[in-house]
Amino acid sequence: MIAAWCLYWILAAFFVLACAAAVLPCLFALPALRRLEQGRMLAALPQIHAGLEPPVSVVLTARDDAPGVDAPRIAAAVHALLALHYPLFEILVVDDGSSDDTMQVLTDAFALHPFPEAYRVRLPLRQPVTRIYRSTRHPNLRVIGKQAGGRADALNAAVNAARYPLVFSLACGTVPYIDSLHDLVLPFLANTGTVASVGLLDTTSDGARGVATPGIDALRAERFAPLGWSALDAMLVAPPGIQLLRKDAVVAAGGYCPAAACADADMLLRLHHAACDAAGPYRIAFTGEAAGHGGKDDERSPKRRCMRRQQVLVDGLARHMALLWGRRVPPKTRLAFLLLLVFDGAGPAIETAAWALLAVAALTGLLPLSACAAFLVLAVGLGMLQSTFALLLDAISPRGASRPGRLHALLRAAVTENLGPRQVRTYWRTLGLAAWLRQRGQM
Amino acid sequence: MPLPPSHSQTNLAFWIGGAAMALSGLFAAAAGMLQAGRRQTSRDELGFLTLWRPLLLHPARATMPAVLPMLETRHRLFFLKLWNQSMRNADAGAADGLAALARAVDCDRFCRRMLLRGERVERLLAALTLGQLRDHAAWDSLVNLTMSADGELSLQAFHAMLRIDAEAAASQSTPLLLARHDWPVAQLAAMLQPVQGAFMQPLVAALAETRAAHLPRALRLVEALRLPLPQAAVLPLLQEAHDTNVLLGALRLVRDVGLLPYARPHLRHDDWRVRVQAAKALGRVGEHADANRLIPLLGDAEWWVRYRAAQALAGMSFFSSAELELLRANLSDRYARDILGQVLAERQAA
Repeated sequence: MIAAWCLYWILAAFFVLACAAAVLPCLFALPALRRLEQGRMLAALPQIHAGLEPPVSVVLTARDDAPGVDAPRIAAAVHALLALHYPLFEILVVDDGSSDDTMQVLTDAFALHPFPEAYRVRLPLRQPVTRIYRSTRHPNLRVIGKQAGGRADALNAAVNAARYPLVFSLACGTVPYIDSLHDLVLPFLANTGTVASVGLLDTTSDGARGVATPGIDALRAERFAPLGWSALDAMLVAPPGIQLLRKDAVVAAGGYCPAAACADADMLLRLHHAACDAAGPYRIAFTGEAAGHGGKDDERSPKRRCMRRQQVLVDGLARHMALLWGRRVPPKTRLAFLLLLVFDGAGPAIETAAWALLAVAALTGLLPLSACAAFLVLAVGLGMLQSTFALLLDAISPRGASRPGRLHALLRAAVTENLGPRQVRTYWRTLGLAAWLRQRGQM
Repeated sequence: MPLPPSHSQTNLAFWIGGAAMALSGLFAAAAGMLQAGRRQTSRDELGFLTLWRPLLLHPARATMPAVLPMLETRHRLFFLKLWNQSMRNADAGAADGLAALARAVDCDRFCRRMLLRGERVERLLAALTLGQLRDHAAWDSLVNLTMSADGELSLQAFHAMLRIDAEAAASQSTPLLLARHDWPVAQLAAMLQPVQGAFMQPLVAALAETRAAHLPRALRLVEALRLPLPQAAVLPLLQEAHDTNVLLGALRLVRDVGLLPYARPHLRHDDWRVRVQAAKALGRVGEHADANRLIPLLGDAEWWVRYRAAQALAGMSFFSSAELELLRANLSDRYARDILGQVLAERQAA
């Protein structure tokens, strides 16, 4: 009986700490949200653009076996990129071993011709580059043909070929807003130590500028928490989005990792890792604003999506455990890593175990029913606290609760999501963790 | 009678959960109030725009009413936003009309007060407005604001100073603009371009006097503004610079044949970035004999050095395409052949 009560309070304490860990970064997001609001107010005023902003290499990776990707869509994506508003940029399309007529369609659409480029290998590739093409119609467009090696390999091939100091990486299906580069480049102008600038991807709208809000829980985890950690210079994971990276930093980090569950998510951790090793000041900025739209998750089922995201998270954390104990890691980064590891990495498994143990204890009479009910009230109350805090931040944020009906929808979600859906998602994330552990065991 | 332990523990869990729910209710209420406040502000702004937009759209017209509507304190920010938006598209005549209108509603006076005591966004808008109004009375407050730790605010204050009196801003703030590394060079250059003449002398003087830590920034500004720097100012930097960044900045400014003897030795510098800039300098002003100095760089270990050396060779007017093709055919180094092949193909495509 005493052991049951001890476990009861350990698990209750874990729920309280998990709630605190979820709310803490959101608290730090408050000043950043205020800045965003002020920025919105000033956005309509004359902007100072000299045309001297650092040039950018825009990288689009395409492979025909990816969901929703075909040759016409790739050509349309390139047309959209050519229309970007920015003083100087080049577009590098990497055709990662497409088996359809992608190259022919691109050749016809952009008047490509093979180009004798002295390809520079700074990052090793799994599969070789077969040929580089250059457009006679658009001098800033090149297409890299290579054998299929995955997105990380394709990105590494593009980084090798990139001429400019900043690399803007996109997947086919992602469309950046026409002036998004101006917003993303600002952190590089303001702070020379910036190695990455991340913008949100609006996966819910059809292109109208807005902020992705797939759910109140996602709103907190994918917008306000990264904004808070970014304000502390300790953002380790970013929501699905658009990344503008300093090429030298990517090369110093060893490039994209082909073995990682998600090359883009892993890159941010690699950048932290490399920058900590170099022991210099660095910054990874999160704009908190949508920089583009599209890029819907490959996984249509919510269960698979939850599992996939958990796998990506724990895979990244496992690959970069040195951020927890490395000597040169700043304390803020170490704390962020620890909280991620305990409450986001292992947390779902602990919470799922807590619900299972509670059910067993109630059925076997180890704990009185009133205690189980109290635990339920505690867990649901803390969940609602996290959700409504996100609701409050959304109301504070520009373009937030000003949309008609949004506040009511979010308020309803803040209540209903904690009465079942959150617990189900926690269970799915536990399944994702288990699947990752199984995969790791097989390697 | 005291409760058994299990009861008191259960109560604690209930209390924590209940408190969390109560706090959730407070957050939800606060969010609702914020949204209501936002809606009220939107309605207020709409009312303001209905009244003021027609006046600010045609400020130069003789139809401007003799008595302007009263500008309420709560509408001042709306006014500053609308006024600055109107200024953006205004021609000279309309700008004068807008300035007169702003002064008529005491805009200069309340902006000066905002500069001192306003919130951040108020200060930003006030600095922008006072710059547009060329308000000399705000000079001291703007100078103080350029010292602010807030990079955006201080830069906006500096921009206002430039608009009010560029000469005075140049003599007073050149050391500051070199020392404030949080002011992006790209934005500074955009601000300075219309008044770059005022900054010529202070920047040249700064090259001789400023501390080594700020020299690269001064050189980048000189380059961005394309200021015609005298040979005597660049020469000591090429000869004596120990800092690689200073040397890089100086090599970027080599546009005079007289500087060639001082640029050439850097083709053998240990740092590849210096070799790149030296090759580019020779490409710009090099002589026929410099081709023999660039050819070995085609086989450099660093791709960018090879590329810039090839570009420099291809850009020299003394060589025809046939001669460059012949040179390529005679190169024994594969990397040198490849890079020259790429540059020649680029030249043909251009």
